[in-house]
Amino acid sequence: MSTTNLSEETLARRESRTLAVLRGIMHEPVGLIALLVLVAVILLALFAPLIAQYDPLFQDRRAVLRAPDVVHWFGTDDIGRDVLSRVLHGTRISLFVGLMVVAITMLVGGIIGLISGFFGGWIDMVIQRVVEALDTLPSLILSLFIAALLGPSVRNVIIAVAMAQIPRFVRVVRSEVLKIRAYDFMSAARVLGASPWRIILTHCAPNVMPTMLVMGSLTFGVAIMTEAALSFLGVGTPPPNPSLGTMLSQGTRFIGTAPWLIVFPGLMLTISVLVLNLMGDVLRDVLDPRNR
Amino acid sequence: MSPLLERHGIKALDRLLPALALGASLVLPAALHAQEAPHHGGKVTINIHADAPNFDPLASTEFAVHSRLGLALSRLIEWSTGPEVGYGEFIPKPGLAKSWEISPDGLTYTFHLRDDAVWQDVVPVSGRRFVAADVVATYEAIREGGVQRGLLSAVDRIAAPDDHTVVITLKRPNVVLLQNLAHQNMWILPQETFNGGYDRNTTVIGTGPFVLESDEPGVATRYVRNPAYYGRSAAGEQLPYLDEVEILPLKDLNARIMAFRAGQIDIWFGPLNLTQMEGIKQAVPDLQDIQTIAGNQTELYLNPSFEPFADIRVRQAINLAIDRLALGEVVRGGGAIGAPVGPALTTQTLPEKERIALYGTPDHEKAKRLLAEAGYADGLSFEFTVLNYGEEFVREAEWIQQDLAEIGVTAQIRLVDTASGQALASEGNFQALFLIMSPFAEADEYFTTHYLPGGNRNYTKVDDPKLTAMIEAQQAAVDPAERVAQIHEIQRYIAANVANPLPVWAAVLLHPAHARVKGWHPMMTQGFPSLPEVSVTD
Repeated sequence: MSTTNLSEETLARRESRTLAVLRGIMHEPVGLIALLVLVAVILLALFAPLIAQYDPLFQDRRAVLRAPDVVHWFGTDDIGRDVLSRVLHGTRISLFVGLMVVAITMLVGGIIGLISGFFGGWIDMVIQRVVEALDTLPSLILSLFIAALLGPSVRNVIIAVAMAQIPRFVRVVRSEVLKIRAYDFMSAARVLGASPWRIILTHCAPNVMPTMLVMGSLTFGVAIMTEAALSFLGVGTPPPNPSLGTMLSQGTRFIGTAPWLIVFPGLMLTISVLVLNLMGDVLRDVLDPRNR
Repeated sequence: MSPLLERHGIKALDRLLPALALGASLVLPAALHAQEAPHHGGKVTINIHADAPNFDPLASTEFAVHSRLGLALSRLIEWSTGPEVGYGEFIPKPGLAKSWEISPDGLTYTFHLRDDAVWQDVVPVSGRRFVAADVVATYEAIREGGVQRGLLSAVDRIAAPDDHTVVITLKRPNVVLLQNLAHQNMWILPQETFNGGYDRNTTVIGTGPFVLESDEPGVATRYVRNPAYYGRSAAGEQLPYLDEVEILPLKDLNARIMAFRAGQIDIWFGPLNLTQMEGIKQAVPDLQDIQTIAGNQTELYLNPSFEPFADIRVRQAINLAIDRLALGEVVRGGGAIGAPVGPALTTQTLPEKERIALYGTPDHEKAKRLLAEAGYADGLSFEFTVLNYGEEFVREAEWIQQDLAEIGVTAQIRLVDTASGQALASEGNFQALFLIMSPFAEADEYFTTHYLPGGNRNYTKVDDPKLTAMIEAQQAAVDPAERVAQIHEIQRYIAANVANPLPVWAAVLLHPAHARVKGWHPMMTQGFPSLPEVSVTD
């Protein structure tokens, strides 16, 4: 009976914390706008097959390089594919890549960071040297190298981008754990006989979660940009699948004659990354206890 | 013909163009000649997007080396150039050999050398006369260790009975020997270089129209007129017309475009697409828009080790699905439909009407019937390996993918880098493979590489005894007209009985030049063979 009461209490506390975060975001005009735009972008991507008038791969060979009009709102590309449909499906791929990268980096980077920070000693030393070695390479170069090695595919792009972002997560989570480790409640947990894994899962992980959420939202934007960059360079999403980066790359050939080929994918890319970065900033402000 | 082309009125153009071309050919040359005759003097600048790592023609086949060597060196046989000669068309022209005879059995070639050719005045050769011993020394060195030794594989003996005669005896008839001697890598060098007289990696001594004055990697390669050059124009004037030529090694495409727009480059060399050309045209409206058909073409290889492609009906169905003419118009913006022998070889490829009949007449209903007969009425699916040669090439693959989808065939594109793709091709590790072949200047090169067992482009392991016999028969043909007929017959046989690889499209090549440059005719072979006859108006 008392256990049930405790769970309800915990749930209520978590609910109120989530609501507080949401209220915090809505309280900020920038945060509210960013949230609304982000939701709109996500909805557009989620329901792309329903919203898009055309199959993004279908070539209407009678409508090659058609300027935006009532039939093709964003025009068509050089083999007659509807740009609006490709932008919507491309956004879907970009968001999927971003989401998967964030999930992988939070999970893998989070776990490694927790282990490194909590156990310290030789485990920490080995992990940190590996992280430092990976950090010596700019993340885009590292992603490019991995993607080129694995070959172009959406799965490989996710792996390549995630691999390059994991070291940042490891370092940040580790430093948070080092801070938390010195708190009294950690000592209390140890004195009460809690196992290291229990302490990591029940005390460390929840306390580094706000930082990870902020990092995650910023990484989301970075992942989308990196996916676009890799696709632009020909090692990302393979053709004929639409990707914002691939569309930009293909559109550069027609920058003078058919600017809509780069304007719309570029706009969607800019908006997506901008709102994700703004959300990251707002989340950081809201979750930072010093701002309460 | 595709509806797209009909919509653009190409049918009407088909009828009009021959008449317009005939009219232009009658009127234009006379009009141009009346306007201005070439005069001596001046300088042109050409871009080559790489430096020459050395100047030894026996050490590498790099275009950056041989393009530069072509200005200073000569070959025994040269390529004819001019407005009437196609970009990839080999019409032999006297080079260092002023004439030649071929024995009736096709085994002995006797070359009579010029007696007015002298080496450039560079130590240690210092302007001595060119003699037959130079030819023998060069060819023997090539046979011993030159990168181009394969071109002389049919040669048994090379002899110089006197200073102005060279006799080449063959082990077997080789109809392409003259073309091999005119190959872009077959420069004749002075015998001194093979006796340790000078280092041909760094010193260039030739009998060509220009003398290499300096080579500064990353800056420029500069040439001055060779006053002792043996070449004369059709009017008997001393060649070359130009006093100086400069080659700029601009590696960055945008830098090259800007340099051309600014007039720092007179003659464009290297890749350029139609969109970039449009931008250049806006900046330089009076440029010479010279367009040719590429000496290579895109090809679709269907591996018979993948069960469906072992059936020729499936390969023919795929051939019938592809709308090549519309592809060429939309994706490439011009060019010519492919054939087993590429369209740049204007006399050896099949006539255009026949190429269109064999490869440019899509018929999806017939394709579906063929698939059904082969047991694939419900269609089939395969991995479509595409080498990443760039945007336009990938567009071709995407175009083919949709064409195939319309007959129920699903091609799953797998994009690979060119090096990996070449490896997959050589290993036969693919289901279907799409690539751009290297430029070839002779039908025999297409046949021996693509269709003979062991050929280095025989990725689908074609081994057809009848086809092999036909290929060997054309190699032994002596009468040129008869050989062309045989080459055409081989292509018809390939279309009907092999259908692998499927030729797709030869792109249009752009060679813009500034209006001040006269007499410029780009050719597929390296070394700028028309440069001696180029002049400038200012």
